[in-house]
Amino acid sequence: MTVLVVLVALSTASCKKQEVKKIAVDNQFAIAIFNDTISVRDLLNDLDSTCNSWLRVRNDSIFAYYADSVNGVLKASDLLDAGIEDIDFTTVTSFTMPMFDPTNNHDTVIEVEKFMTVPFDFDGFDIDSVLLRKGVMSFGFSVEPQIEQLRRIEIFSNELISPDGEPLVIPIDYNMRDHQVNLANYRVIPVEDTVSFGARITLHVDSGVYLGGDYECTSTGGLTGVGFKTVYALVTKPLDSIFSDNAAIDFGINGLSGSAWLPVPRIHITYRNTFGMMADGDITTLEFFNSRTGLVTDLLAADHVDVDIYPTNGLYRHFTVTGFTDQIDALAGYTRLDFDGQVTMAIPGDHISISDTSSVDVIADVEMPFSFKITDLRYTDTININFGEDVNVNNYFDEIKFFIDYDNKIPLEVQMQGLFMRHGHVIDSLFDEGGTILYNEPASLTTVITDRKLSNVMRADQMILRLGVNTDFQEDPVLIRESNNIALRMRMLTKTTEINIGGDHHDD
Amino acid sequence: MKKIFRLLIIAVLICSSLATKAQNDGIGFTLLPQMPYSNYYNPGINVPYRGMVGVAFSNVNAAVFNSSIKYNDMLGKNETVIDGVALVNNLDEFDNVFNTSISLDFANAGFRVNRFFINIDWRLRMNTDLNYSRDFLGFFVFGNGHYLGNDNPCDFKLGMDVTMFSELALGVQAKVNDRLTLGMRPKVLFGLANVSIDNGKTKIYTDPNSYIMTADVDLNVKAATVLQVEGENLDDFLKSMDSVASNRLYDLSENIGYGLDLGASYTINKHFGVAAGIYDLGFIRWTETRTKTIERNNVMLNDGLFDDLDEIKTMELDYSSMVEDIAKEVWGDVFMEKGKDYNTYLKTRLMLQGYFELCPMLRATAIGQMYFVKDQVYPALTLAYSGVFLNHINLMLNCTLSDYTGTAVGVGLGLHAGAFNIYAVTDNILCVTKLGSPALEMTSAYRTANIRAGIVWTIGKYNE
Repeated sequence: MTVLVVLVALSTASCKKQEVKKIAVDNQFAIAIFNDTISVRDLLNDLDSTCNSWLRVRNDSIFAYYADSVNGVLKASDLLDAGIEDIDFTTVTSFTMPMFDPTNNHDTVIEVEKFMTVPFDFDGFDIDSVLLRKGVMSFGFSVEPQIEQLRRIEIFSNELISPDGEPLVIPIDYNMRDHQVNLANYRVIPVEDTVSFGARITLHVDSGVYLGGDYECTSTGGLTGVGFKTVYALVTKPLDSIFSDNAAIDFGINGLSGSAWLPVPRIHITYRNTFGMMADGDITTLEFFNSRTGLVTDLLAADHVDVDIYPTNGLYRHFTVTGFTDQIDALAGYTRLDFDGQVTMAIPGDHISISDTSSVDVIADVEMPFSFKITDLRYTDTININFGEDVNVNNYFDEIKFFIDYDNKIPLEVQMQGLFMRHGHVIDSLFDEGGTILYNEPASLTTVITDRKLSNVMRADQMILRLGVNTDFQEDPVLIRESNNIALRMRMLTKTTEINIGGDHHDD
Repeated sequence: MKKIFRLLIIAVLICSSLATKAQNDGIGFTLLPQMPYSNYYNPGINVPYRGMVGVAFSNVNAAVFNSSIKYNDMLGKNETVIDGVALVNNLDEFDNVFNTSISLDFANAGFRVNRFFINIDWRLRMNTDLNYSRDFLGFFVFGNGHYLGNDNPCDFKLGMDVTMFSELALGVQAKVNDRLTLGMRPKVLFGLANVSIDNGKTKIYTDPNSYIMTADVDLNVKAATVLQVEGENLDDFLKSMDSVASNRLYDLSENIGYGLDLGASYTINKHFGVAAGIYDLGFIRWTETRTKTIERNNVMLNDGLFDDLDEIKTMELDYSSMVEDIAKEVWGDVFMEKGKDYNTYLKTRLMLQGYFELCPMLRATAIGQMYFVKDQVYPALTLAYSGVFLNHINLMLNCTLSDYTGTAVGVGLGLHAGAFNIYAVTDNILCVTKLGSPALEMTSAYRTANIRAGIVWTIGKYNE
């Protein structure tokens, strides 16, 4: 090479130029272009990231899947957060204090039960007890005329149990007009839909006899912001909820046409029921929908599917529903998965215990194995190419022979063709009659590019790649697995007999 | 002067990229009767002057030896088409040589003191040996498609040895008696650059099924230089040359070598004489060296132009990174490592000669030469006629026979005009017929081509 370089250098410097126009050679350059084994896994990894939203691989099996989750089909919090409406009350109670002979210099306690009641009911339930998540009780208290011997007044309720397990007791401070109690974590045990309050009055007589008298007691206050944490109750009307949801779907692959049918999809219903009791589910709609064409494919064979939704203790539970439609057009361009239904929880007469965190979540998961029956799936892509039009390859190559060696373990047969375009017009093709990659039959595709085709390839500005896929070699749908692969080797053999260095075509 | 020097060095470096075992180097010029170079190879042969001076162009020699590439093989009758196939098929399987040899006397002065003739030479010399296998060129002409399979590798042999050095010699010639003259010329050699590449066992394999190319690389590179070549463009390179010309050419601290020429001549009678000598016995010890040794099998050269399908789809091929990857795969990360000092040896030759002189116009000389190169001996025999006409014109004709270089007829002319002398000699007159031809023809028409010329001044004649 060095010799040639120097010879060229000397030639340049020579006073007389060599009139060499051609170099006669018998040249064959054998060049490896590509050499790899490509698995379906590799191909999937190279797919557009949007494919991750609909591709699932499990135990080497590949699935296209669409899921629509409806969290909180039935949510206890929706029922319980409202609790009961705020209650304001003002009660005036007259009472008579009897004369008695107190022990001088000692306190005498007089207890008045149920001097006041507050309604406490909840639609749909006959409450046994309620554990409150929140709520405030305010309370004001006055007695007329003033009782001179009055030392202390306590308001109490045996139907409001503090977190310590003790009945509610509110000492009345005359310096405070309004007393407030935070009822969070208090347990309410209403009696006949009411909560009653009593008063405990302590008198102190220094000497003599207490003559008694008539008094008027005014109580004001209310329950505000009451929310339930847990309700123990008798159900008086059914708990149910209707849901209707949809999820957008997109295969994310353009350029596909033809016919490809997916076999019967497998549909998984996954649910979580934390109510602690069984619910009834009723799926009324599950369908693919093409919003552009209006095409609807009903995935449900029957009008509806009943589902028993057992308590799952916080875990998810799923089962596979059978009996759906036969097969699905994989190329129908569906854009949406619609999912409607109803969940019913408990019936009147049931004694239940529900927490405000309880809910029923339902997920419809339509899973279609990568199992195809393809008669003529076509994929077209356009590749911009520029081999350099200025380079006249005819000056260097007589022919370029391309070899595509393959050992295809992916159960598909692929027909290949490349059309070379220039300014939007087809000027040549890669294969004269197309090339087919067979399944499980190692072979080679060969194309020889000479003369005009060689020029056309160099002139082309685009190549339209057309791939046709079928599974005609097999009656049943083929199942594609992630580990399926194709050993692909591309190589080329150039042939040159003359290198034209004089600028003229060697055929001239 | 600086520019001329620079151009000369560049010319030398360019020629060095060509690749000598034995080659003619204008030996006939020592036979021109009135030129003061009779002791050039043999310091024991009498110089017929009391003094001589040569500056700059007193003795310039350029020689090319091309063992295998023949112009007629390449072009034949149709001179517009190079027949690469014939070119390669006519190469020896492994032993193809392209050599160049260049020498330039910067200064040369001699003077006689009684029985002694003392001369001092300062000379720049450069030898380049390039040897290659048939497959080396075959790879490019035939392509790797002709070397498919493990049993048919491409023997990609390319060896190169380039040595550039300056030589400071002190010659002393002593006339022992009327018949015998002895001479010796010790030399100090200042090595400027040496590059030695040996990849004799490198083979390139191409798998016939996949076209995957691998190589068994056996490459040994040694280099040493006083040049401080830095930068990546020509300007930087030329600056480096300036530094050599103006500064480091006189660097006496590195790459020092020693040489010796020995000789004796004996005049049998008025008509006959004989001489024997040893030329270029010596070595240069190269220091501050760099080496690279690669002995690796199955080095991947190409397993696919494209690494993944995306690259094929976009047709994006990064040639530069591909070449870099191959270079890195073969060469490794470290360019060259600091190496041990090593010696290179001059191409010693043993010369025996005898002459018969009937009159000044008729002198016949026979010179036998034995070149010793890397433990091998290459013989050559030169038969020459020389004479002086009109007392000023020197003519020399010779014929050199060598198995290696073939037979060549040489001619030399010299003009002795008082103190002024000018001469030109070639060992292959046919190559002169190619002067003005295209470079390709000049360098490949004949196996050997050389020219030696100069202008030198002489002072007084010395009659024995």
